[in-house]
Amino acid sequence: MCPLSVVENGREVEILNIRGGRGLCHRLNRMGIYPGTRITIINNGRPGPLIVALGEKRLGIGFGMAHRIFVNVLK
Amino acid sequence: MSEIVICLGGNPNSGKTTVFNNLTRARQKVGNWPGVTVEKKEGEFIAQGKRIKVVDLPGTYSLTAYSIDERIARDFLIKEHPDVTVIIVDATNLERNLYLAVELLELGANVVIDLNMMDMVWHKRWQIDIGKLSQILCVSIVPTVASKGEGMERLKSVVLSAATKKVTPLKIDYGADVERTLNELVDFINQQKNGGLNVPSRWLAIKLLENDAQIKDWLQTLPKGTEIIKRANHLAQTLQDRLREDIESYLIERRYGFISGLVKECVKKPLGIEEKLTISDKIDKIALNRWLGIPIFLLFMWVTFKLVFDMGGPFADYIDTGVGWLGEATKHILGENWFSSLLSDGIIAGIGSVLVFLPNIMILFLAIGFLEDCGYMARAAFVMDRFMHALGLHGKSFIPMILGFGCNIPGIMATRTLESRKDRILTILINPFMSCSARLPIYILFAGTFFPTHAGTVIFFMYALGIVVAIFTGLLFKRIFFKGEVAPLIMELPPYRMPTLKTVLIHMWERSSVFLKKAGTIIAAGVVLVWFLSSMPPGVEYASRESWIGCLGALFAPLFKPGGFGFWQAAVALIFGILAKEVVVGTLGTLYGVEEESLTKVLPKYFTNLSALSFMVMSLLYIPCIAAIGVIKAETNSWRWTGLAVGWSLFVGWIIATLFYQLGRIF
Repeated sequence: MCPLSVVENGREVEILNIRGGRGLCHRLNRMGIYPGTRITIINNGRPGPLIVALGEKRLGIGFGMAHRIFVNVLK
Repeated sequence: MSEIVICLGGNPNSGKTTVFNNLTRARQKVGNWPGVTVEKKEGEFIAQGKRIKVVDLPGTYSLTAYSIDERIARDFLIKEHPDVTVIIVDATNLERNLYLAVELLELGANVVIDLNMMDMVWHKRWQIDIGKLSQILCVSIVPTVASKGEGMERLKSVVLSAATKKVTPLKIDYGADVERTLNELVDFINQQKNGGLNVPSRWLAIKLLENDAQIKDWLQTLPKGTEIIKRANHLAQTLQDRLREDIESYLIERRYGFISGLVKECVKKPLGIEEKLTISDKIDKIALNRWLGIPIFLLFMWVTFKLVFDMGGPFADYIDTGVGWLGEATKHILGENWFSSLLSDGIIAGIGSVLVFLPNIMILFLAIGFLEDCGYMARAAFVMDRFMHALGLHGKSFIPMILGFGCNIPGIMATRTLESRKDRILTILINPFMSCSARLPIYILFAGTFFPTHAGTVIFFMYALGIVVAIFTGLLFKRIFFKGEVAPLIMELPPYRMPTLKTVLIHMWERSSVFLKKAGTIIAAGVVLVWFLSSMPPGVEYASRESWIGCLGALFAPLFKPGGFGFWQAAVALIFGILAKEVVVGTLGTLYGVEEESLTKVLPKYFTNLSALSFMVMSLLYIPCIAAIGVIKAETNSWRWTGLAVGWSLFVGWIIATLFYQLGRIF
């Protein structure tokens, strides 16, 4: 398990949990990110924001936020 | 039935040796292939009471007979006719591995495919439709994981049942030209009874077209062989002329084409990362690059800025001239009376002061509309996010701030791109502190008059002070009004695309018209109020000391004493400055009864260097212009926030200007 912010480009990860307030969780949920969701890191702009692929969708996630999303690297 | 002989073939590294060991266990003997020093391994196993002999062929990629290994494998297959040929295929690399299998199938070998390394396939979450693959190739396929011994028993039983199978060689379609030649050659070969070789005639024809030296050598030794070769050479020559390329490479290409079609049909792979990357993703790698991102963003902003103020400027001047002319004309036609004054000084000038902003605003919204519709705007927020976070603001707040340098009105309106209301209001509240271009004439006049050698530095200082106050205000208001975190930055990045002119124009008009309607009414009302104050009591000279606004100026003047400019003209100039900051300079000219150019001579009589500086600070900070106030009201939809913006800026302006003056006097 590691924060999303440290995962390198091209990896697929599974969301494990989101360490944040309800607001953060809700916002992520609205964007389609739940524990169990699989996303691929398109571009980790460390220490800037990340771009991830959720299916065909591209989401930008701020670095601070990515730090609080814990994931499992799948491959 | 006599002893069953099977052989194992396959690419190197396909796990062939592991399969061989699994099948035969300890029953192995190692020797050499006759005539060469290539190791020959043989073994046997027993399945359903039958003894099965296993010959391990050298690992090869094809049967072209270019290397010793390949020739051994081919010789064995052609001459020994094993009952079953098991081809070990690395399932993770079907394209390459199936080539050998296809060659064997063309040769008419009785093939069983061992689809090995299936664990890797499962791990990669590929789906191989084994049923379909088996159907198309007309062979039995056994999935195995040889390294774990999985599927071996199944392989044994499949091999056993395949041993009695009747086989028809696989026919690959080589395209019309080749097929015609092949058919002709096959007919001829059939007439010659294969020249005595026990291979399918089609395979023989293909090999002859490929100019296979070993096959030709064999044929030479057989009766009628030379005739077949002669015929083949002739046909090959004609075919070569028609294809205009080497027949052998053409055939290999066709074979691989067949295989890749097969794989496409039967294998489903989840896309790999590189294949997943869209053009948008590739653009983002540059546009959001950690080093290039900010320069690219600043370039876009600079271009936008240039467009807005360079292209909008001339239009604004035309409007200004037109409005001025209209005001003069009104006065001329109606004569000098209160009504013509209301029309020209009040309403026309008031509406004019709104219209003057219109070209800039339309171009700005055109540019913003373009950046939004093409998909860049969402990225811009990203690029500035880290920097803006330090200020307690959202990445997207940066754009309004930058635009504020040109004019606060478009800056404030640009906050519409912010989703969170908190962020939006905060960004609106700090925007007026970004020194807009209307304040520049004041700086130029005062800095030029009092600090002729350091004018540039002084002006730069004003801009910097504005930014510092904006940041301070942002941090403070955040503490007081918007506790909690900055809205977490997560947003969908739409794919880049070329916006259509129509949608961009529609966006531009929607936003510009809102400005016209809402801000227009408030600005016009404000202007009329100032006109009223300047014209009252009746008969007084417009905006003189005796007019109500003059009285108001005199009333407020003591308030500005601590700032060092406590005389009524300065107070009136500042009050008029609320209309538009440019007006401050013009008003001073009117009040001191001189042209703007000669103000440089008059001003030093009233201002010291220090009070000039504090007056500039005051002009920078003291209040948003009435147009900006109108837009703040329209955008926040709240008099409370509008009141706060006005009240806070008056307070901060006065405090800082006074601090400046008083501290400056000490030093």
